[in-house]
Amino acid sequence: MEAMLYIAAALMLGLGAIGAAIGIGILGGKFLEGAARQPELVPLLRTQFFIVMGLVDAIPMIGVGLGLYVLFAVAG
Amino acid sequence: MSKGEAEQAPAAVSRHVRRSYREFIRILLVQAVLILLVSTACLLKGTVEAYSALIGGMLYLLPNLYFTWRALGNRHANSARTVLVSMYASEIGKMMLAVALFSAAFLMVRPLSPFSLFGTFILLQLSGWILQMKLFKTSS
Repeated sequence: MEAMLYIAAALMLGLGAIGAAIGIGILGGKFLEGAARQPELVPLLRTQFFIVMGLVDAIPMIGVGLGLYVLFAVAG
Repeated sequence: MSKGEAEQAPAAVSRHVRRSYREFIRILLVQAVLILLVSTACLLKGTVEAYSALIGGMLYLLPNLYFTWRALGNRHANSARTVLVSMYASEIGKMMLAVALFSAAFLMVRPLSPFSLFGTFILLQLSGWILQMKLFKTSS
C-alpha cells in the first residue's frame, strides 16, 4: 500500500514537471519569435510572458503540493 | 535613430516594466488581504483550519512574490535574451522555493487541515488567474 502512495506522488510530481516544462518551453520559443520579429515590443511581450507563465505553472504547482502532501503527510 | 531617441528608448522600457511591476505587486497585496479574510472565515470552524489556510496562502504568496521581484524587478534587462534568462531563472527559483516551503510545512506543522490548506492555495491560484487576465485585457 505504501509503495502505491510513493508511485502516486512520483506520478503527480513527474507529470506536473513534464506539463510545465512543455508549456514554458513553447512559451519561451514564442516569446523569442515575437521578439525577433518586433524587438521594440520586448517590454510588452515581457509582461505578457510573465502573465501567461503564471497561468501555465498554476496546475503543476497544485500537483507538486498534492504530491508532497502524499509523500510527507500520508505516506511518511 | 538619433542620439536623443536612443537615450529615451531604454527610459520608456524601464517605465513600462516599472509600471507592470507595481501592478503585479498590487495584485499580490489584494491576494494577501484575501488570505486574511479566508483564514478569518476558517477560524469559525477551528484553529487548525485557520492556520492551515494561512499556511496555504503563504505557500502561494511567498514563491510568487519572489517570482515577481526576480522577473520584473530587473528593469535593465531589455534584450530578449536577458529577459528570457531572467524569466527562466525566476521560474526555477519559484518552483524550488514552493517545494521547500511545502516540504517544510508538511514535515514541521502537525496537525494540519489539508482541505483548508489546499482550498486556500487553489482559491489564490484562481484569483491570480482572474486578476492577471483582467490586467492582461486592460494592458493590451
